[in-house]
Amino acid sequence: MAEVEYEITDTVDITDVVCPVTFVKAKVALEELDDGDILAIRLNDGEPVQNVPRSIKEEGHQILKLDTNDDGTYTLIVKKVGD
Amino acid sequence: MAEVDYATLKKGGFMRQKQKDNFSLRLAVVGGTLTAENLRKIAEVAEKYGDGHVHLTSRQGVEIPFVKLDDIDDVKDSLAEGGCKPGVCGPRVRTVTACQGSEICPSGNIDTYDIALKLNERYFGRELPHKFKFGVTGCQNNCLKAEENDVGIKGALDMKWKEELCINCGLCEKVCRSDAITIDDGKVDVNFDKCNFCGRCVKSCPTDAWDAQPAYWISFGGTFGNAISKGEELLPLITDEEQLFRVTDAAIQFFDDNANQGERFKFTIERVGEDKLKKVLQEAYEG
Repeated sequence: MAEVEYEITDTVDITDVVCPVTFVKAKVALEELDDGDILAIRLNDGEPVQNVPRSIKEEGHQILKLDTNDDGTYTLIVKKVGD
Repeated sequence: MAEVDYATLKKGGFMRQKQKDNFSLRLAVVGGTLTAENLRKIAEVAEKYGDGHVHLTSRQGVEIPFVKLDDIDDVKDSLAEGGCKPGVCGPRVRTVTACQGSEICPSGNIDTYDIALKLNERYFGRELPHKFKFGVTGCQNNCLKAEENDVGIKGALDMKWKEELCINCGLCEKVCRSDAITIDDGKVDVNFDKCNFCGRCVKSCPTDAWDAQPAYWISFGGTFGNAISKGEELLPLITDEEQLFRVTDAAIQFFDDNANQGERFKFTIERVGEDKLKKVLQEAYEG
């Protein structure tokens, strides 16, 4: 199992929106960052966690980790790839 | 004027219209794909020989209506210049339909267009006791409705977990719709009795920690006309292309050998016995 070291550059909470805005909000947050920066995305269980990570992967960014939070949400750690 | 052979015209894709001596010309289209050059020629022919419109059929085909009997040869020649050919109707292998598949669609597990081209090359226009339809869909989302077809092919992914690349994020477990994945102490366990090989675990994996190969589900005896019936999967997962074509060869031959004239595959299967078909398919499956 590969553990990766990282430092979070910025965070975004997408638990206050629904599909497809969840991905749009995450995408906009990623666009604000530079190549190699790390974004922490707080997202809900169900559809968001099933779809948003995959969409981010398909955009070419690197997913480093998915943490489960105490309140039933998740935190997805994404490294921005490309500008 | 020479006597009109409607059966030959129909075989060549010329569908008789209500309006006397007018035909709706069906074109050969594979997997719903046409080039811009094809489309330009179709537009030109529709304006010159038809009434300026085309009809998109329910099976991804194109028909040019209001083609006149006297113009049929000119229309064929003209279409050939743009790389277009007439399609077929009647008791034979029809247009092979396909979704966009893995070359275009993020959900696609198999190259549906390539499979459709190969099926078309193998069987298109083959004379049979009744019409015979193939459809190829790229994944479980089933945009192409595989089970409507006499033989339907559905893309899957035959996969195996790669422990060394896994970051243990748990996404595969969360995206699985079959509850087939459990993660215990960092180990991903797939219950293959539950798994339908849809590929969502593979597609969502951040680190591509899966060995995944295109694979195929195949259904037999679908029909959606006067009688409505869903094709049935009679085999386990097909894991390579050669095996797939052995099975489609066996299915079409079973139909050719056993069907009565004017009998769709579903009714041949019912009359002759699903067990008999299954035996033939199983042999082809095993090679």
